[in-house]
Amino acid sequence: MRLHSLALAAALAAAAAPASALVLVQSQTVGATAVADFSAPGQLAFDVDFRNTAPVTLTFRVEADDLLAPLAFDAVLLAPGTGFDVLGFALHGASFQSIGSVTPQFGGRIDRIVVGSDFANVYFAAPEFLGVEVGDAFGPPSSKTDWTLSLAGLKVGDTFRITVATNAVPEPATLAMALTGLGLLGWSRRAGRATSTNA
Amino acid sequence: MSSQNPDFSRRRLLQGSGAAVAAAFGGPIAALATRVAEASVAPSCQAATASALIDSPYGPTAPVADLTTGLELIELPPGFSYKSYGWTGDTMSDGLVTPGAHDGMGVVVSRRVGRSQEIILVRNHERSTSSNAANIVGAGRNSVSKYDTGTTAGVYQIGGNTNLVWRDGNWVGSFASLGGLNRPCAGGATTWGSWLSNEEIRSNSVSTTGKRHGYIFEVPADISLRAANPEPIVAMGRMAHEASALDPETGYWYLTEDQGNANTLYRFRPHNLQGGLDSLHAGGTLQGLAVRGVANADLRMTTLCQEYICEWVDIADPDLDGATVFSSATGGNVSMSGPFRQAWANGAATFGANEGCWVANGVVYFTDKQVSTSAPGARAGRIWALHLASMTLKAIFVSNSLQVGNSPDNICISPRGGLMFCEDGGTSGPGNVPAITSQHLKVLHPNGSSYVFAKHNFNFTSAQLTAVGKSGSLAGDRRNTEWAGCVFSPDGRVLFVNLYTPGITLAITGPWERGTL
Repeated sequence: MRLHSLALAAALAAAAAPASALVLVQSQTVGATAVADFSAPGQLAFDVDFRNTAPVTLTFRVEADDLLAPLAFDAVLLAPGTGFDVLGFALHGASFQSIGSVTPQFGGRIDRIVVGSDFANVYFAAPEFLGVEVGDAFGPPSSKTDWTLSLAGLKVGDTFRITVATNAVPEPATLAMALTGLGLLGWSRRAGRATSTNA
Repeated sequence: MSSQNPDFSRRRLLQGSGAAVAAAFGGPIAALATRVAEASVAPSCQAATASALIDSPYGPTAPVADLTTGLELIELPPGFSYKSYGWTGDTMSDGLVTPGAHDGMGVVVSRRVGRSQEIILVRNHERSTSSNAANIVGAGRNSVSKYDTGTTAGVYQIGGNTNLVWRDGNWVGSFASLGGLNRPCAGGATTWGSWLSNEEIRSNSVSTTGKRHGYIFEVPADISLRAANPEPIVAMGRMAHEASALDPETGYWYLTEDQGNANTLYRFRPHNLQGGLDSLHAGGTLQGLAVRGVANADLRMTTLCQEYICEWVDIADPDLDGATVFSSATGGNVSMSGPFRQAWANGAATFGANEGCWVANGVVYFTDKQVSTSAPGARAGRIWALHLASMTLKAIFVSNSLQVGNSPDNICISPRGGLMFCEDGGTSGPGNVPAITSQHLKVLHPNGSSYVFAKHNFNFTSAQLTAVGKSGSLAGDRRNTEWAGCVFSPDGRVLFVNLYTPGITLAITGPWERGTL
């Protein structure tokens, strides 16, 4: 009876298990706290509490359901004591497909966002000293938009990493074009060229 | 919305539940209060008898527009911004009207709820009495506990508390939590998700419901889970209470009393040291501070860094009536609370008028706000530090000029170890030239000096206020009215503070690391 009950319980648990999603395999932080518990199939979601200006690098392993469509991306980033003048994102093994919203939580103002295939820099006109919501991290009701990443060329079991820094990631010498706006664009990058949006 | 069905909005407001546990994410930064503690005890004082005003490391202040209304309510240093909320007269999430007289305030819950950072504050409204029962906080709302709904000398007690919810950088709601109090001034946060609300009145009167006033009450963070206990914590004394501060290492509380020339620092040792809602109602022992070997020491006039070795004297009856008693300190009769009468008889020291209180790293910090040009000397306020292990009391801030510190009232220590005090002074007193045009938030530098962090700037017409959706009755020049209720978020990113008049709560953030906060 006991073994049958255990087997039944295991079968029920397996049936209820969530589809396989991104797995955080390594977290490189210096004084910061990073949490990726809210990642889901096809959704990269992490939160970082910066207690200093040291960059944070997170490495994720790709699972089957992450390859079905462009990977949605959002994050909550709490500012270090010096605030956010710039937020830099660097990708290794993946690429930015579209930029979404970036929302300062308090008095910060975005000046421009410069995006390339493997980097994105958010420049602030006024520093943000509380935190920033990248994409639609807190969910509805909201008019915010997640960013998307391309995992083209990756297969199940491969890894990619994303670094978040409080300084700009090196950019190409030339930029394709400059646009105005506050980064609330579901616009897709032209292949091989960097683009910039101005606030 | 029915007045009998107020809970729906409050349940949506408070997304979490359970004990107030701060997660590593967004939780308290490493306690750096040793900076203040070391400065207060180590011989790092200025070579002077009184404190001086220095330039702020944050830079000079200038009017800054409120991100909520666009009005320049306060002055701040470069890089700082703020959001106002909970103005007097605003409709709260429970449909009730926000009371005025925003006073002491504390963070009682800081938690991560999903991906959100949520903070719950409890705020005092230091209102006294009214002939209109409808002015009782929470009137007509059964879910809001009330201590006294009767009258004393023909008037109702209309002081009380409201709770505020802050989430992810925004104010999201407020609601009434306790009513029927008389002048709840300051208080103190527990470590189990509640706030002590302290009545500041010395009175032997009894209301028509048999209630006396001058007690401490406990207000929980979420009254939809458990309503506030309407019964007072009698063992903590009946007096003109000010602040109460918990030492988490011992479970003891330190209390201040604002009774002119007849008050001391008190220690309350609860019978139940486990904490939790209603734990303090189990009683405890109350004691007063005395200077060892000096009966009834007069500590109203001291010099910077002056030290005293202290001890505690017993108080047998915390609920004893107050009386007019001769004081050797003043050479005349003074009004004394029951607890102070007993402490005084046992040799307790006296201060001018104690106010704010905060405990950090085994040190009790408290203010004496008395401003006077009379004997025993011209003075404008002091801040004391009692090192509990050695029982050494040290004057770490001595203001003999309104310019340096104008009646320091509520205090707080930031997670980075900076001590901030709220001014609650006037325009008369020592050092009143140049003229005092506003009250300030000031900071005590570790070397014993002070500097200005912010200035009250509220001076608006009725038309200006109604244009932003606020009551025109709040109009006027309020710049020389007090700041109150300063407290930092546990992660040190946000300062919450009140403008007592006209009654506004602010959340301030900015480059804290540029200075000592």
